Amino acid sequence: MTAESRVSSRRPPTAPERRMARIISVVLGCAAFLWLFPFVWALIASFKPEDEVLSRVWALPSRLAWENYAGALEGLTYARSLANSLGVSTLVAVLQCATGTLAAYAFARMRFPGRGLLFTLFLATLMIPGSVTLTANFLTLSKFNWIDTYAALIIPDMAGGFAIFLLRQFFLTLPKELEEAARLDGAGHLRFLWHIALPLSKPALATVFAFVFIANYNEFLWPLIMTSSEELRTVQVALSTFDSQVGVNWGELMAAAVLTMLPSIVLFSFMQRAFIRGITRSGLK
Amino acid sequence: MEALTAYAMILPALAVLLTFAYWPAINVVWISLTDRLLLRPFANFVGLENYARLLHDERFWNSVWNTVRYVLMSVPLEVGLALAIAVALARPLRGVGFFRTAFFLPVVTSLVAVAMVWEWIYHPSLGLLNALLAPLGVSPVRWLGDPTWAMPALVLLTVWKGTGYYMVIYLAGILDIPEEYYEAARIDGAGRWHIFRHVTWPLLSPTTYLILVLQAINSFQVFASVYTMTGGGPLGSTEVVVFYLYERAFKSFEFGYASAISVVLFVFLLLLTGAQRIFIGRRVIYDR
Repeated sequence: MTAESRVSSRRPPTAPERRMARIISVVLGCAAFLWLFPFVWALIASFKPEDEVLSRVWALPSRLAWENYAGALEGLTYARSLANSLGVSTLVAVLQCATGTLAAYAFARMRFPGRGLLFTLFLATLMIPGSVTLTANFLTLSKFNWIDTYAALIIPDMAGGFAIFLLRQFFLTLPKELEEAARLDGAGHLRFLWHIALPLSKPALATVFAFVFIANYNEFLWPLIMTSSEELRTVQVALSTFDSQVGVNWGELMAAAVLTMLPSIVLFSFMQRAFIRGITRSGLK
Repeated sequence: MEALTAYAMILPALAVLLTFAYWPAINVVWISLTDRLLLRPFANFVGLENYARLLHDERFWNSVWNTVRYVLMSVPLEVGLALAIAVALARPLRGVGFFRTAFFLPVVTSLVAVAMVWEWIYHPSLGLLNALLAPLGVSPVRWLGDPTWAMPALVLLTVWKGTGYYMVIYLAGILDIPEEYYEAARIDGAGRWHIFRHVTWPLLSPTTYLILVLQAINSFQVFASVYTMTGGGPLGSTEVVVFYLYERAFKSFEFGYASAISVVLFVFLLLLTGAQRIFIGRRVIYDR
């Protein structure tokens, strides 16, 4: 049920109810302002010339100091780090959609011995936190000679229990008749998946893509220990070394932070519904 | 034939999960029983020696205590705020979409990036927080440099960053409650507080259990904010378990010892997940 449909089922509000609603709006408005303030403040600071950042804390910038952004991109090969993160996260999200679709379809629509057991096994990976397997994974990857390569950032993350779980839930909802009709036309599972199930599951795939992209893009501990050379660093790791290396130019640092936040905010604003759906589906049911 | 196709379709995901989730989960237990160092390829089996050493490691217990303090401070604050905001947002209200986005925005942004912004907010001489407190006559506090305040400062950042996520889950839970329950309560003459206390809150209890456990599991693994903002200091006051684990593994390269810390953390988180299963079992009571 949506908020809207609930509203319509109600009688018109009485005067005290309207007053209460107004009070709640004001309190919520203040809270929302506080919540957004760090973003706004960082954005404003990122456009302040260096001397104004420190001396005029509350003032708007006297001019737009684009040199902060130029400096941020230049310093620490930041542009390279940003490109690394965007590339790696896109690839990881696409790969998780691919491996997830195949596995989820098999679990949802096919019968084979060991299906229940295997699915439980897949789901159980959600209970293994990355921070716990760090040392063991590091040793595996050094055995593969993958430390400080793109492979270390991409391959261990190319399948995930979340993607498989969410896509399976979706494939389960496809009507049986659809599959039977396809079968009568002589289509096997793979053709049904490719020509009918996949086009129908665009919203589910979009949810998985947005989720995996943002999670991978924001990941910190893993790229921190897996990469050591500057060319391979993700933007999160590059940002974490910023203040120690530049000897804090706050305007530039805020520009770098804004640049780092931008991709996930943009993706989120385009896919807000898909994103919220993902949380409520995976978190609750 | 169908079975073979199905196995082939599962294989790519299975291979990745086996290699990078299951195998390390088993392997970490084995490594924890050895004196493995990063730069030495061979290792001796030492039994439970690492665990015995953990028992007497004051730094480890300090990190456990700090993590517990962090969890005990952040979890109730986050859950309480998330519930309050969700209840407020679940009514007819202009600009619901805007409010939801405002509270949710920190969730999608990276912890490292927002930590940089908050580091500035906490800055003793240039920061926003001290600038706000100055007119009230509070002398500048070194938020991240004072052992008393560093942990609460991290908690505040966490609450700001995470509340939106739990708010969304609560919101979904509230909108799932059938309108008839509210109507019935209103016909009985129940006031706003009574409705919350006797309808919303009990019907949300499965959601609350879920959120408590989810959030505890997340909070016990706090790392990025500590790494970027305090480095475990001042005086070890923010050194949490995962940070200590990181230091042992990747600063002093004691992989065996670090793995023992991982295993202890792992067992603990598994117990929490087990608790979640029990609590989720309670859903049945309220199932409609």
